Amino acid sequence: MRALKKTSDFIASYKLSCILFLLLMVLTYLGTMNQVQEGLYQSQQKYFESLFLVHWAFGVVPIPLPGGYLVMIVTFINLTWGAILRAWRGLSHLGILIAHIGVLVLFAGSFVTYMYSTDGHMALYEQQTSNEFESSYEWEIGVRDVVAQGAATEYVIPQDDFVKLTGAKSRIFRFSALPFDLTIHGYAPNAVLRAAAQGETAVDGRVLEVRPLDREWEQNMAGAYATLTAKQGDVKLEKVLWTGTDTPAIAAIDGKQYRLELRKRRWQLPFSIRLDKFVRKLHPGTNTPSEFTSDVTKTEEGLSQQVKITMNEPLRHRGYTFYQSSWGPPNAGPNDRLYSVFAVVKNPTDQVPLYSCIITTAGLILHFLQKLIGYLRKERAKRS
Amino acid sequence: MRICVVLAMAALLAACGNSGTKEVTETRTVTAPPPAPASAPAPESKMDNVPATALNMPGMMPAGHPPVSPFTWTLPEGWTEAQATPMRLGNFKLASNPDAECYVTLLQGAAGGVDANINRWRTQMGQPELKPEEIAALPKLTVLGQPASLVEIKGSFAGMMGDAKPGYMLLGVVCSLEGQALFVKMTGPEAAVAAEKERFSALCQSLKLREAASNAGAQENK
Repeated sequence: MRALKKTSDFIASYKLSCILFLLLMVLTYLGTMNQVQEGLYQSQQKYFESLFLVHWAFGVVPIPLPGGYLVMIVTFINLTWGAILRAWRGLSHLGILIAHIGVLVLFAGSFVTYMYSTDGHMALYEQQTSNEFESSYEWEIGVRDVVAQGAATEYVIPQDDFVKLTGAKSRIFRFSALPFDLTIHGYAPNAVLRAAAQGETAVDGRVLEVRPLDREWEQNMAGAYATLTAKQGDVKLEKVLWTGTDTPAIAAIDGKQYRLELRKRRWQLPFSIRLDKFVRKLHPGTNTPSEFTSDVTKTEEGLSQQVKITMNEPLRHRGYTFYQSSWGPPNAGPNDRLYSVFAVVKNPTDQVPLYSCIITTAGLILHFLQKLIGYLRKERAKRS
Repeated sequence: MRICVVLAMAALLAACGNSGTKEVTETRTVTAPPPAPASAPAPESKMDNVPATALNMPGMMPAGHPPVSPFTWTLPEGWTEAQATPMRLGNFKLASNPDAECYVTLLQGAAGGVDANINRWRTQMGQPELKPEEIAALPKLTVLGQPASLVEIKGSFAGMMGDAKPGYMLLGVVCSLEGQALFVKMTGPEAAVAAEKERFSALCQSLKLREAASNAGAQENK
């Protein structure tokens, strides 16, 4: 019983809070500095979205550290338990309790964001329409039968399901409506597809040569091997999937063709966006843009609405936010056709930081007012 | 203590990786474009470390749209320019034969080297590889001011993804530039490609560096 109380007290303690905040500070510093070597995405994954990590100090000394994900979970528990055990000391501490709740709301919102938000980009030329956006970082494997025209159902294997299948590790994926199972193996987050040398085990005469990860994650070209095993019969086909190609792998089983494609993760929108006009204004005498604006038409269930998206005025609709992010091509000449790039974010808790700030501010104002009133009362009592 | 156990279990689970069997349940409805022809050739290699000044980040471009080519060329008579793709800076069709195609690809780095790429093409056509001295003896074209080997291979063409197509011919040029490799490749039925050999050479020799106005490029503004 005493041990339980000790543990409970430790979990709720300010001491643990201090340790956790120090760890967060250290992780923030190391993660930020690491971006120089490993870029933004890999540093985020390593330092902030992990349970544990090993930081190599000066490149030679390994230092095991808890990851940001773990530290945040423990901090949430610490704050919650601390609030339960200590915060309710009558109405005089109501402000502190409210401020705690505000911070907990922020933590909970961040967790929901981490688990359920999606973000990517949509790039459109003028008069081009799209109803899907693409991740800048994540991959997926799409599998479907080849149809001449019309709609088709595509199975999607998200990155999380194959990202660890490096080297000899493999996993079998089953599809209820397809006549084969798919085994993915030999995944590499960055690879080049090259002609096989003599004696190398090759697929269609080619092999994936694993390359070191590029600092800029967008430049990595993932690859994997896929084995299709027919559910009936002995047919077994080997294919190589690689994101550097714009042609899917095609495999024929039972006289029907199927396409497999390793590509950036895509999400479909419940509406479509057409870019009507893109305007880029430059600062006079320079090539630095002063403003870029996209006139788009949003169409949903036959109803169209024209919207202007500019630098600080995003389009918000049905939980999706479209920010004017960039444009291209970077090496476009004066008469070249430009495209507009929107950062697309779907975050069910995007307003939570605002609510959290309001709650925390209200709690702190109440607390300070209570303290002020208490002080004034004491002073008055002293004088009288 | 319990929390420690839960956290330890979570860490163990995270370390286990994804193996075994999984039923794929996530689906989406796609409107299928016409299927890729089974013989569609694979791109030459990887657009690795592509600098923004040469090509766009492939992931940030509109779907199916190309980067702006750093080269210009003179379109041979009787050819049409098809829409370029992220991998094909130039994409050409022959009015005389819809099965024949020609395209220009630019890759960063040596892309495996000239000899390896020529032999890869020979493998695609079902032909034995050439020795270095045989490659050195290949006829040359002047492309972008440099000598480049002109490859002519007849055989059964098999792209990376598709079925073999007998009676095909491949014309190709690999040009090593400074830190980049340029490929011009034409495939199609033998008679159609053989008839276009002069025009293929003319296209290769007409390649020039584009005088693109300097541009600040995409500016992050989120």
